Amino acid sequence: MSVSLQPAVSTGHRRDSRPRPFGAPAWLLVLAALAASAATIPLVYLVVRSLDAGLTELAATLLRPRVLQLTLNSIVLAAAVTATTLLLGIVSAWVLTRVRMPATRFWLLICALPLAVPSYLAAYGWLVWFPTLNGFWPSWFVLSMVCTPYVTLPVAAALRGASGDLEAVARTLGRGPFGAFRAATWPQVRPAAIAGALLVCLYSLSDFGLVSMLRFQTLTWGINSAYGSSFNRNQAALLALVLVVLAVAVVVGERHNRGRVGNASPGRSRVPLRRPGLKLLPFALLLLITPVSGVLVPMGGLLSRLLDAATIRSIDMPRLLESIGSTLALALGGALLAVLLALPIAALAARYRGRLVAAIEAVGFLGHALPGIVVGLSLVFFALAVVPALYQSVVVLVFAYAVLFMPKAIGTMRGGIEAVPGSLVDVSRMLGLSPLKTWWKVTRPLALPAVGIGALLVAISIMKELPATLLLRPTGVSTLATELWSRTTALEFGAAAPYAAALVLLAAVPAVILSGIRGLAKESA
Amino acid sequence: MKTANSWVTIDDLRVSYGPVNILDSIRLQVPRGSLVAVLGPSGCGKTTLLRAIAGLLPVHSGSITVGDRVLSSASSTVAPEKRGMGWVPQDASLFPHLSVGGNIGFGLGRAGKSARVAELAAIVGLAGFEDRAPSQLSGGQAQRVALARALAARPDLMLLDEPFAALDPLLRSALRTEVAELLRDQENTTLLVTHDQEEALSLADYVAVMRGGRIEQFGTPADVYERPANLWVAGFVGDTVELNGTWIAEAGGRGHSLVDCELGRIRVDPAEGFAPEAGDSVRVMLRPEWLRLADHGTDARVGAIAYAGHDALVGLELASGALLRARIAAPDLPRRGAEVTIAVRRPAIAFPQTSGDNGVGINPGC
Repeated sequence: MSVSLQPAVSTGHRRDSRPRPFGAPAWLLVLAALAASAATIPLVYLVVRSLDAGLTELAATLLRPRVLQLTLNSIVLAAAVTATTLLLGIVSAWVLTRVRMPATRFWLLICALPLAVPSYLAAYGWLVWFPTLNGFWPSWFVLSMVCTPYVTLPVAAALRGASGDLEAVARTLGRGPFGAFRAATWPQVRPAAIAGALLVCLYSLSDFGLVSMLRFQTLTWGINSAYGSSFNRNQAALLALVLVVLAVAVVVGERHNRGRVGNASPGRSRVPLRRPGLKLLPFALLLLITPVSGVLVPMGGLLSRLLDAATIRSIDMPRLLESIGSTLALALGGALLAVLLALPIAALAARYRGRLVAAIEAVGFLGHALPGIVVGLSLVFFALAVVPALYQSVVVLVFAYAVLFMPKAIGTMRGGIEAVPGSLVDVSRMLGLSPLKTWWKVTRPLALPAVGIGALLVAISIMKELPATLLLRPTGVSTLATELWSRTTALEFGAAAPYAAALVLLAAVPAVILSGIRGLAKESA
Repeated sequence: MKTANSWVTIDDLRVSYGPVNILDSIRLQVPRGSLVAVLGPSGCGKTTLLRAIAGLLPVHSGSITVGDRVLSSASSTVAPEKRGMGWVPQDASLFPHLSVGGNIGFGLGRAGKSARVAELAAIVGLAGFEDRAPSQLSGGQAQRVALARALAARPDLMLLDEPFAALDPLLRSALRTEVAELLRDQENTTLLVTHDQEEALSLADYVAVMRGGRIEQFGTPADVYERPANLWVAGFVGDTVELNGTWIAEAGGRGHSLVDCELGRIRVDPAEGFAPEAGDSVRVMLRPEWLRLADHGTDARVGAIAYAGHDALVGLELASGALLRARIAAPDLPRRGAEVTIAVRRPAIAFPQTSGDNGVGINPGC
């Protein structure tokens, strides 16, 4: 997952909402449907493979105490992390938007920072300081710290957009400050909070790197170890199926509970900011919890190891450069493929409506709900059974990246194309340009920045991806993420440090800069 | 209106969206070189009509013909880019990534492009603005650029979709007069969509009044205002005074008929296609400015006065208790509560009595 948040609450606002009774052109529908169907390969094949094992084996495996334990661990961890991040995130968002702090931008930025740190990198940083950390509580704590911004940021945005008038009216009607917030503002914020919680819950369910480093045995850990003991691949497939069922249940549950807020006449007034005076300190401390535990402590651990004389002496430079090279190459290839697959879907969804269009777009977003390890495992089976020549080749790995991160590309590119008003397209047609020429001279130049940002987002996410890379990488190819992971699980914290540092420089820093640019662009728009 | 030199002919046009007919049996003939306003309340289908003419929407039956080319029919739609029409949308819709010059020249080929761009910039009063970005223009300037851009390729037909609606009122009236003159100078045939009756009546050679996907009336501005086809059109294009009356068979002076109503026996013309017989109950429509203060006529007491500077709408209560409004020029204004005598300046219009209408009424518009 990357710094950018997919707006799960649709805030998309079409400037030209007139019906376009010319339906979508057939060629675009076909292209988009083909691209979307590529995204279904992992899920479909996983189901096929699991059913192959036979229903009796399925039932027997599912009822094994070991499987039940793994499932329970996954559920408990996801639930605990989601609850924690909801609480901490909503309170943080309230402080960010309702308390007059010096340097508002700074606080917003540091609250977003943990998003740039992959969970396993944070786990590594904590392990450097406390090598004996293991089990549920450390996993819960570090994961919560990394995930809180998924709630903080959308809730803060919703709070900023919420009308102060409603709360003021509630106060004049006799509610206390908290009662007025609950009655007037919370309903406007709730969808954002639930959407954020969905992201956290999916992230926790699908996290592999952190739990494997902190040795808490969840489903993802179980899938990896069952796959590793190569004689038991049926069990890996069944565990993956359980994980998918959990993820789908979470997504469905979120859709059910999201609720809708009618855009009832947005008031202009803002809630007056509180001047905290001396009470500033506890507010500041509260905001500092996540950046300190999610970023500062791990980065401190990383730096302390990196600057250690023994580490510097033993850096294996050729190997480091090689994994940097393969990381970048894979990211580039994956981003290109993801953008290529996303383009027809984004163009279709941006300009046309209807059940078929909505269905194609929803399928394109499938990768959003599928844990990386599930996509990895399923594509291993798929490659072995359908295209054995490609097994353990870069092609399958790049394809896995494209499936996993296509939703990010669809989201940004759709937004970019949608932002080109339909009336500009109409005007261009009226001035004598064919649809293709109009696309080239009007839509393309205006939507290009969004395509670029989409590609960059995908590339950054790919560089941080761990579980699918572990399963699908060709023999001998290693990325920064896999090197960091394998050295940390072998407790070689010093040897892992250069890879961790390179990962921060290549993925985390650009992610922060990019989110800063997008944030600025959004505010000035 | 059957004009021999019709340039744009729309015949029995129907456009539907799902089961709903957005346009139904539209017939319209636009003479070459004229400015025709399509006037209607929002949601009446006027923008849909414009988009269908532009080729941005398919039609379900009927046809659209310009000159001798059939551009739209149920079976085929000529692509918008092959129609040779100019289009000025409501919000100007300038290409944000191109300069003013780039926008004006967007639809032109390379040859003679820069000269034509400069010429058009001068025509719309923006000479020297060619290198500016659209974001540096005011709303009125942006609309001028949009107009120049549409005129650049010398279109056969100009389509203006409420181009002045987004401007502030002062700028709006100045710009629309200027644009109408410019379009006449260029001898363009123009279709202007608007919901503003003042805009339609003041600019257009002909007005098509639309309601619910149909054209209620097509005629000159004076036709539409003084001889509306029905009471809805009457109320939509201006203020009305409505009274119940009884038709008198004998003809009045100068060929007009007579009707008995609460204003006494007054001269009246039947609405087009309406042939009442003596003794029939009819609905009589007048404009407030057709009433005047007079020495002889109907007695009335002055009620509320809505003062507008040049004139005022004066509420009047007749002896019968009926309320009506007269537009009286400002210098002659009576005081509230005064007893006055009113007369009618010109023949009223008689419409068939509609069920449910009783007594005297003041039509609030649409």
